[in-house]
Amino acid sequence: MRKKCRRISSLFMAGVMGMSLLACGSQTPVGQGTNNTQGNNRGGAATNNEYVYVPDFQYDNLFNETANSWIGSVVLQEDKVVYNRVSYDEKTGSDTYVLNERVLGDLSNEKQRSIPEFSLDGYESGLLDFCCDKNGNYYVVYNTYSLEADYPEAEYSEGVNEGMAMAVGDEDSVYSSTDDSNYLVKYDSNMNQVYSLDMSTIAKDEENSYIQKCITDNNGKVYVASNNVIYVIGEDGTHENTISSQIEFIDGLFCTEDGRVFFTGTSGSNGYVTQLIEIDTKTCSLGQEYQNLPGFDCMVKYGKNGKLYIMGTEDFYEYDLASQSSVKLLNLTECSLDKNCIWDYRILENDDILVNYSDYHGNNGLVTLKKTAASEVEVKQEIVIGSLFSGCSEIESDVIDFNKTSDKYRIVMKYYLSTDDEWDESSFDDAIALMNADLISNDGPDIIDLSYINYENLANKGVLEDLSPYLESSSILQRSDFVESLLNAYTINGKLVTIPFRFRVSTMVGKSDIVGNTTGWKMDDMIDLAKRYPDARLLYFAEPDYILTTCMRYSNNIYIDYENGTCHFDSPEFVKLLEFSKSFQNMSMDLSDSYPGMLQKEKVLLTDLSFVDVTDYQQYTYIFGDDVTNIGYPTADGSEGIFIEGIDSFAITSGSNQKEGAWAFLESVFSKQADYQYRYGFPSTTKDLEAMFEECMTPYYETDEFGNKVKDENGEYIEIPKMISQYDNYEIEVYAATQQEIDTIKFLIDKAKPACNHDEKIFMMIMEEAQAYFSGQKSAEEVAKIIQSRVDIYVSENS
Amino acid sequence: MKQAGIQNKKLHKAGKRITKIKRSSGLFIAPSFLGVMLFFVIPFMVVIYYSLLDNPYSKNFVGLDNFKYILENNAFLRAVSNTLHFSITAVPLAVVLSLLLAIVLEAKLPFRSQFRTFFLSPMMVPVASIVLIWQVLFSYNGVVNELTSFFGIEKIDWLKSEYSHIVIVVLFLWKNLGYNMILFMAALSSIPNDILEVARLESATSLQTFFYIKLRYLSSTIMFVTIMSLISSFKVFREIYLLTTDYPYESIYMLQHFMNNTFRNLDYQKLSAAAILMSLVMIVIIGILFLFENHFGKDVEG
Repeated sequence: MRKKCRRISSLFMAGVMGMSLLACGSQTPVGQGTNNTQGNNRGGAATNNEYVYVPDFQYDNLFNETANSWIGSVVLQEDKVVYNRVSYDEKTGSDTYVLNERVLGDLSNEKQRSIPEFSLDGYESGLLDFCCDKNGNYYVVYNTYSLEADYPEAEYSEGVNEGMAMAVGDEDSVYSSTDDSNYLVKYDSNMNQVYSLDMSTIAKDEENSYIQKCITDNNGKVYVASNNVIYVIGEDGTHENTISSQIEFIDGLFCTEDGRVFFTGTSGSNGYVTQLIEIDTKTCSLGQEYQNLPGFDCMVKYGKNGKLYIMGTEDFYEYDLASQSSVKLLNLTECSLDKNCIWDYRILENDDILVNYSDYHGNNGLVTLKKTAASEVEVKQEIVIGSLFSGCSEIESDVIDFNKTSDKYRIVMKYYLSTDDEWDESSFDDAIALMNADLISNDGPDIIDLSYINYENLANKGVLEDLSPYLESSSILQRSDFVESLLNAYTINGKLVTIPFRFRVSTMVGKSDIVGNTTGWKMDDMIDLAKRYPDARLLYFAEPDYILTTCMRYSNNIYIDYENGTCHFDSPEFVKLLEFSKSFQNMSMDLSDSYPGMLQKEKVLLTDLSFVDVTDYQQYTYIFGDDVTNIGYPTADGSEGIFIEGIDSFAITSGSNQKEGAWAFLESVFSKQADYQYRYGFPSTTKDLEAMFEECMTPYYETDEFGNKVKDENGEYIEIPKMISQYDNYEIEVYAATQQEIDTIKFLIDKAKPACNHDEKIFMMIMEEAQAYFSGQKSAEEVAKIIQSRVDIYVSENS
Repeated sequence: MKQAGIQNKKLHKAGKRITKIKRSSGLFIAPSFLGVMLFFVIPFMVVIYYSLLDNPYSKNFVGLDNFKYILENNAFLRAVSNTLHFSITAVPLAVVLSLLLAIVLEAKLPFRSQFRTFFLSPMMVPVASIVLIWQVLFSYNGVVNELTSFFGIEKIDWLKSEYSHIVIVVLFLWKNLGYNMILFMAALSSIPNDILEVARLESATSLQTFFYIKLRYLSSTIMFVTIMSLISSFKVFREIYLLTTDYPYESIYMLQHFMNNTFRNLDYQKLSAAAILMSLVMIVIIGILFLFENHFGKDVEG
């Protein structure tokens, strides 16, 4: 008996041990808020082990948008899509509106019905929004206004940041309108007007009323949202109630298929987190507020059967109203969709998801995400791009384009920091630690987005693949296709670790009369310059912190010898720099002048300039109103302190099993048609860069209403500025770039050095300790000693 | 013949029983053995493996290069020196002071239990709170500087100067004295009373009783407390890190800082080499402590 007991106990203990060991695994707990949504390698976008959502794009400009004809609002219904087309008549200068319908099964046929013109004498009108009810009636919200075709006297505040730039061609945006009124007009299915309601009469208590949305419920009531108020209009067009909410701005209003009405919005007091509130349709008052929405910035447009369907930043969710919990249905990027391009969606009866989509390339139309059994979908090789968070680079649209065209590979984004979660101080470090853990455990991404990542550290650890052999063997790209200084900047230990898609250049600029004509100087030269002009500020933001930051940003190598693992922050030179920075403390400045005025009158000597395109450079050099020299940041040897930094840099990991596919993706991005006009930064391929220069050198000319260039009295075409920047009483006009300007930019790019990447830690230590000196608590020598002590450890560790 | 057969049968039966016992013993030992293998031996092997690589990603074998590198690395040498300096200062103080406290509290003092509670209370305070208290006390504008400046003494940056070592030793003692004291009190109360009575009858002084009897009986506890304090002294990094982040003033940069920072920088090879060297040093120190304990305590351990 005792023997048996012992055996049973032993077995029990073994069982417990076995269970404990099992718990070491990373099983996803059942019944959690989100579904098991690990990406898989199906051709579409998988989000469940059993089924995937496969995108079917019918959006190659489905709505036939042209320069003079575009789509306003789109309403998705179960069997059709209804949208209003706005057509601009150049001759009359007015807009006409047509309602269009396309049946979902046969999208090629467009059924049109003109909306009767709605206008008041002496007023123009524009269609703001429309909706339709189940009986085929249409409700249209018009805005009526009188035009004043004068340029308004804009008021601008002090300071460089508040300078306003307006691209030529945006003249419409400066027309001011007065006597605004909003009208709600109901039409029957034959477009006969049933009623028209002047919303201004019921919104008279509301200042600056702006109607952003109208919907109908299943009882024929119309809900019109304006700022943070919802007006409820009865079936007969009478105002039934006004619902005010604590939300600052209502950004969404919708009715579910079961007739429940909800609105969403944000307010500063709530940290601009999306709030979801139901309207009690019986009492026409505020109803329940729902919690636990997935993510901060949600789009909620549709619901049925007690569930809402929510578009988060990265994922699409099903939200259960009863339990107030959500389940992830799919990842948007994996479905080749970008949230910013989604305007509306609904769930069809067969559980497919219909999306109104309009991408950055001017394509618009519908995408059906077809719910398909996973076994039926073609298997593609998966390439994972690891990025710290969604939006830290402009890669999503390239991924979507690649996924749509590649029949062999499929890219999946892996974010280490979800934008749908709340971030705190440690979130960033945690995300980097997670990525590092993945890399070390050989479970890392195939491609790493290097934004906000210490790429030098990764390169030194051998994490990043050398791209030179890929360039050499590529049939599409060659090394000579890229800006050489950029490639040099990202060659670490002889390995080309990344080729950024775009780049920026940073320098310091000053009037040639003041700084001379030669590029490059030392720290002492800069200190001497400040001494020569004791009444002037060295930089506009001449606070000690900023001066020290600017001087240290690209000049750490003056005090650090990485090769020998030593640093010299206790040197007299650094103490001198601290003292120099502090000398700008409490420096008074005459704020009566604007930024260009201060530069031109030599009240401010230098500007630190980080430019991403030619007009950027032109604008910031023109504000001096004189010849300028790109003196650069001070360096140890007085050489050119001009720095180049990649924008959107991606590297292939050396441990990737999909290096070929990863390179294919990078190749696809580089070989795409130049889209530098829409992207931030200089393109990194010489071809695109030259095209950008050429375009910047092409003048803009004044044209008549037919688009023909206008000549002046001398028979010359009249050149107009490409950009106008406004700084108080200074107007900076940027015309086509001259060859000299382009040559200067080329020189700067050519001479640019890699910007220090890995010294952020040192930088933070210096700034942290320097505060004690700036605040007068410690002497410069004491602070320098502490900085030396701390930084020395860092440098030794990393040497 | 028959007897021999019976004998053989008996022997066979006994052999079977021994095998059975061996098997069941093996089964009972297996969980502990597996646990030790899984959580100690295998990870240590992994650490040894990493210490021989150029980095954890490329995984190229570099022999003992990492050991050579860290033995020449200023940061590592400073960390070793600081850690040793700290341990040499703090551990003896932690042992001696807690023993003194235990002896004092063993005497029939008024408010004895209150004192005991007072000295034990730091153990119950979470580290984050301790750090907060220490920051309030020792920051540049903290209570200590305010008090000293009241007497005309110039302010000292306690956490960013050579004084930081003292601050950390005080923090360590404050945190650990109570626990050590309790261990000593328990050991003191377990010393056989008859021996103490005999000593008293033979007119032994208190000092003689302490050095010749109590200390001998306390030797194993002293050994235990010393090892525990030594281990705790290596763990003081936690408090230093929370007080002064990952790159503190050089005098309080400990081995754990080096390891923590190298881990974050993905320098697992440096971390592993440092960990192996550290464990070797620990083995030597603990070995020496065992020798001491054997020498001084063997006559009282049956």
